Amino acid sequence: MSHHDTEIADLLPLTPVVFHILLAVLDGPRHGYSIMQQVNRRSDGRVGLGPGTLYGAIQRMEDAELLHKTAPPEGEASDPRRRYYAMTARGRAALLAETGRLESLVATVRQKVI
Amino acid sequence: MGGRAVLMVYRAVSWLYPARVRRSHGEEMAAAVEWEWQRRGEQGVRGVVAFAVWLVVDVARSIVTHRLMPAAQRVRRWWRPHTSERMSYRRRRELVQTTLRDLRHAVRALSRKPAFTATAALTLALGIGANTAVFSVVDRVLLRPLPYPESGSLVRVAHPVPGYGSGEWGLSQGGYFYFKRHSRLLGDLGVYTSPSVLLTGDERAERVGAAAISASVLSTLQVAPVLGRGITADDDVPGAPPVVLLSHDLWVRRFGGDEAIIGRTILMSGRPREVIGVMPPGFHFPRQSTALWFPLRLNPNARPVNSHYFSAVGRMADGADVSDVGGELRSLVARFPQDMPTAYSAQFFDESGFDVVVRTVLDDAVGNASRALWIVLGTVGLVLLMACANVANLFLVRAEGRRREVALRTALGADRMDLLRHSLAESAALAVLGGMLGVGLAYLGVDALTAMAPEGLPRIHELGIDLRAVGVAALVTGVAALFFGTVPLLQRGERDLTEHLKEGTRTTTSGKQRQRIRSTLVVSQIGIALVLLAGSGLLLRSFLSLQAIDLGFEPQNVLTARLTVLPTKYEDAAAANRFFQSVQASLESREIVSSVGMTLQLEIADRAYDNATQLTDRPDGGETMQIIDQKFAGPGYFETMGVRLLEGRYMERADLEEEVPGAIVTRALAERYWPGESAIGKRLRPMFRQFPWHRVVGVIDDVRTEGIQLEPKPTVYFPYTDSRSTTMAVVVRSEAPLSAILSTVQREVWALDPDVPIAEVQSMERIVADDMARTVFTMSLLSLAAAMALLLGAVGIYGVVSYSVTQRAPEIGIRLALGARGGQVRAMVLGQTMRLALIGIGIGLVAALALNRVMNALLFGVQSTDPTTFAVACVILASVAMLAGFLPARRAARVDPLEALRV
Repeated sequence: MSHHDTEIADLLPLTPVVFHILLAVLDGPRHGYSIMQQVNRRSDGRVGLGPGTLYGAIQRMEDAELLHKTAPPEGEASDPRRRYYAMTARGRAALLAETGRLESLVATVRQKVI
Repeated sequence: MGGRAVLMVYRAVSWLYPARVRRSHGEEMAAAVEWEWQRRGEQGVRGVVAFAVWLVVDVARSIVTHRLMPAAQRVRRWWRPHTSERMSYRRRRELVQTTLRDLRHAVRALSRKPAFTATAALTLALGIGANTAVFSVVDRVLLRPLPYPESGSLVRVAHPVPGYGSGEWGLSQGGYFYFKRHSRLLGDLGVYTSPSVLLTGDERAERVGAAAISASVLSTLQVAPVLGRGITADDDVPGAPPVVLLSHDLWVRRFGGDEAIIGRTILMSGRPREVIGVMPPGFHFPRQSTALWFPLRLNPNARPVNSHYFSAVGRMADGADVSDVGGELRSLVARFPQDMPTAYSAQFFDESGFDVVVRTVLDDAVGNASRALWIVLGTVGLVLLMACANVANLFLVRAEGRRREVALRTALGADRMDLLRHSLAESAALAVLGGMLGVGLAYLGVDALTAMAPEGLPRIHELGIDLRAVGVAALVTGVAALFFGTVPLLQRGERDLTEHLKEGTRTTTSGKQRQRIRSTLVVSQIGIALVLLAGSGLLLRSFLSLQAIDLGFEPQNVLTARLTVLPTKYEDAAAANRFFQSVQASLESREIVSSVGMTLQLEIADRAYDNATQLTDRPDGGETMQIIDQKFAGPGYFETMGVRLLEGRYMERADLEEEVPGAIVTRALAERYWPGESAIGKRLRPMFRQFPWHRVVGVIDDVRTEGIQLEPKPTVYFPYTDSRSTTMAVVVRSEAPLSAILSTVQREVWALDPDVPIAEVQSMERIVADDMARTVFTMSLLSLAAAMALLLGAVGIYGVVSYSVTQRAPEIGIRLALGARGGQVRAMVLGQTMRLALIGIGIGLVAALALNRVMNALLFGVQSTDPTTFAVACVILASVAMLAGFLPARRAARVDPLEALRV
């Protein structure tokens, strides 16, 4: 099922899980468990990921071509069970679009409140 | 450590995760669980718990996200095959806009087809309006509680006396005090009578309804006055100073709503009473007309006598229910002969079957009417169903006609959801229109219902459309809209659009399916119509039977009125009697008056005194004392009422003054107490106040004193001069119109005494009619519903047959072209009509036979399975069906074969 023709706009707003996962791989590829830890830490446990929720989301993001499997980066080929994921161009675009949406919302609020 | 154990745990729950994710990422998930365990394990017990929670929560969320939500999305995808998976907020906004647009389109489309819109809206309005109106009545009368606190625990107590007939007696004074002393399950008990009294004084004399109550009546009802104080136990003892409570209406109307009324004295029936309080507005116990309450001042130590004329109202103790209280009172009544032998002999108990019955006040007030009302509600519900079926039919026709438009739309990208939205928008607009019209009709209907309703239905005077009824109407409207908005879409997806897009295709599979649905709807309509027709037919026959009953007197052309004399102007009973006799004499001299008489109790309107009567000159030579209905009347009364004389003569003036005055008895009395002999010359006397013996001078045929539907009881008529009453009813027979008689009566009465109020002027016919009011009410409503059902059914049949003719035009054209005659084509169409009608009638018969058991309580003189009624109903329905099919049949015969065969 190709979703090239689905507009990025139709993916908005991103769910918190998807957003945080994209954030986690923004700086470079990570493996699943590391993404999980990063997301749980950054959201103070509010987006509590477990194996099912994490990999379910990863599966969906792979389907939507926001994420793709990648080779482990240099020097980290420790555990064969670790699979690494990286953001796709589409994923980057989605993250930027969502950030833009949040920014305009925040700006509106600041305008009215201040 | 324990890694393998954790792996086993993981494997145990992993099957709960979605299969696809497990396939792609199973190893990673297992690894994640293991690493998390390692991490948490270092945190001791708390870590273990945290790990467990983490895993369980994740499994739960996973199930929700991956199994439940996709299922919901699958449903959504069925409606919208062309869209992507998630509904973003942009889509949601679009949805609102499109809905509004659909509504606008719907309104425009409906206004383009005024005939369709008007028919559908009016049909709906009929059904919804009838339902709202009837629901208002049922709600007020049956569903709302009475205006007393915790009215559910209020009960009435009465004494059935099956040995003496079907009536019920009130309580006796002795019985009342006995229950009060000994009952534990009755928290409170009060007794009362409802005389009418004369108010005189500063203003014009006025007769008002009053109630003589024990102080416990107010405490039982738990109603307190809004001004002043209520009647206390101190006011209710013999010799206490006379006091009175006013109703709110009376206080405002006659005393100007002046608060200074408290402590003032008013004249009630000529005697002064101090006003001690005013009751709250809306308090009308026991009758709507009650305006004054004063204490009975009964003596608890008085010797009990077998005289029962108190009505009783009680409140059950907490936790007791009606059957408990009934059982307790029954066991108390069983001790009456032992504890009150002077009043209740064992022989009396045997003969009368003296018993006690306890009923909730609501049951008592509404009685038979409740069943009638529920039946009526069911009836209009059926009519509404028929109306919806008709409208659904209309929609089906419309859908059929718009097949191509729908096919085009679908081909251009509309999905099922869009089509449904369009259809629902139209049906919603129609339903709202019909609903508004319906509520308007209901307003009119409620007015009519109130006018027709029998007296005595609680709260009937408070009728109006209330919010609940409108809410019900709205609900019904909504459901109706959903119903016939979706019925046309009730078929499988139309995959092959090309079939519809082709020109000239008239019959498709879905068309046939629609036609089947329509036929089913019409057949069920016919069935419902039969049920209603049969029901109203049965009621009509009951009504006719009631009308044909021999009352024992002739109510036509008789005017009645009540006259009351001021006790202060007439020193004693003799003076009052002289006045009444003068009135009669002066009326007799008028030409316009055919005959005149006086009576204490009007037939049907008033109850007889069922009191102890002593009879002698029995066949076995002895005396006996019996409880017999006693009435008081005078010379001229029997002739005026048109009562039939069987033996002896009517009462005469001389009978009033003899040493052994004359009395008239009914046939039932003569046959029961002097069987096989002539009753003339036998003696009897009432057992109170040292009455003299009376001699029977005449025997009249039985009179239905108590009511049309009750068997006549043995009755004796004593001269009214015995009764020492200051109120007497005058009956006047005349051919002249009511107003002429009334002004004659007024002239003669006021010429003799201008202070005598003339009250409750009614024709005897009116009194008789009121007695039948309940039956007439139900019957009228049911007949109205049957008429509506008949109309709707006819329209339904017409629609189906007419449409079928249009569909079959090519076939008919071929037949005609091949030489069939017009008459044969007509016969074919009519045959189809009859087939539909007969199936419907068959279904209706079965349903009617089952349901009419419900109606049994309302019927009189006819069985609920009466074959004649059913036969007539079937014939009427069949004829109407034929008539409805007539026009389409004619049209079929006129089909032009060339036109029909043109593709």
